[in-house]
Amino acid sequence: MSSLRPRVIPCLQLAAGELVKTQRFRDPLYLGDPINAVKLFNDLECDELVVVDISASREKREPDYALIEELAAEAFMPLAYGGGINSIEQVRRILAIGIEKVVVGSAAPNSGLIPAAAGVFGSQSVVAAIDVRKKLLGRREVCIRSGTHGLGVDPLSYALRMQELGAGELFVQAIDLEGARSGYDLALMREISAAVEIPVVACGGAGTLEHIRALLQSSAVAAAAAGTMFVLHGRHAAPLISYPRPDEIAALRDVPAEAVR
Amino acid sequence: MAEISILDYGIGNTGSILNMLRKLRVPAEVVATPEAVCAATRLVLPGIGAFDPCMAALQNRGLREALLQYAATGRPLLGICVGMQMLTLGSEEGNLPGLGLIRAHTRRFAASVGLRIPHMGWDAVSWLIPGHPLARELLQGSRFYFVHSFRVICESASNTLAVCTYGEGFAAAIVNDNVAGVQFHPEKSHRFGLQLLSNFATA
Repeated sequence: MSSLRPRVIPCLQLAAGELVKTQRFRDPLYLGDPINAVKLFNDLECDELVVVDISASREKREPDYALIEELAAEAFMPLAYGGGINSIEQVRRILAIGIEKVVVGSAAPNSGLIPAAAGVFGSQSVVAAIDVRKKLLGRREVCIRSGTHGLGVDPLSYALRMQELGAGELFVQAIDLEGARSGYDLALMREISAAVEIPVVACGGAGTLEHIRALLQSSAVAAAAAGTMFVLHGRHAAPLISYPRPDEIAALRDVPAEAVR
Repeated sequence: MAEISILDYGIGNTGSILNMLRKLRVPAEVVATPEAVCAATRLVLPGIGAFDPCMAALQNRGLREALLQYAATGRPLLGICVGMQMLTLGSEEGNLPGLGLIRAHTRRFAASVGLRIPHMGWDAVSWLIPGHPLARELLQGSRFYFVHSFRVICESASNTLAVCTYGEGFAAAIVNDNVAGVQFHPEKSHRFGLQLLSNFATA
């Protein structure tokens, strides 16, 4: 038996250097200073943080290294960065700054980036982003470039392919549920986490601790990530950084051992 | 002169360690040459990724000999993650010999255990050597962040400073006089990590 517990991970979005929050990957709401947000999550001793620059790939520009460095200086927990990463040199630079993991999305399918980065820095440093959209008739499709470009591939075979390429973790996000606060896509998370060997981080749809509990009880995911739930508060979606207390997290993690794995 | 030198051999998260030492207000610098290693007051050996590339990088830069010389002076050395594994005699992950500064072996997790590898996440650590300076003010069960696919087992229990369990037990921290290693990432383990690095800075 392990004492290792599922992680609970706030996922922050950046656009033009600001902290934002989208819904279904659209309509970014400006929330303020990302450095301050990271500082607050650090004070709340969160398990880990994921920061994604949602404008970098779309604008085809380099990651904002100066900002990433400022974020890393405030994060005394594992920090993952995604957005605009398409070369091994960028990965090297970001890891050297003090980021633990890079999240590769748009560049994942058609480049040698994942195997190359895993070969040099270890697969634990490389996270593959899998953004999933529901199509007509309920079929699911993997999308890249902030959800704007469908790959015509189903999430399960894509997940297996990312694992084979050498990704050390999968960040699976249900685009249609992003910001909905109605609960995770349990079927999707169950299917992928049962099929791969590497840890799966589930994102999209969390609104309450009960949603996280339901996810952890019904699937073998290693971590529950959420954006809206940890950065917005109440019906009017006022910006407010929050994170479960240690006792709340302990209760969440009180799940059957076979589900934790 | 910096109180703590962090060794950069091209594969490692020197930035994270530097960030936390800044937070602790401990003067620190990143060093990369054999001369700087030998001149260090306290030295951190980081490491991520696979065993052989890390050992080869040390060897190619003349740092293997420098580290052995440094350790022989009795000044404090702390290996982190693969940096700790490199202190052992060798690893089942690779073919190159380790530094052999601590009589320990880096082994695979037994496949039969059926757990996901790597062991990634926050886990509780038990300290086995009461009053050891590195463990000062760290409670039994303090939480640290781990990411590793191989585990260290010491030949002698007297070198095992802390243990953790993931399917089976393994050394979370090892020590041999002035040489110590931690499998977890103190630089990413909130206040527990701050305490450990603060202990190393003052031990």
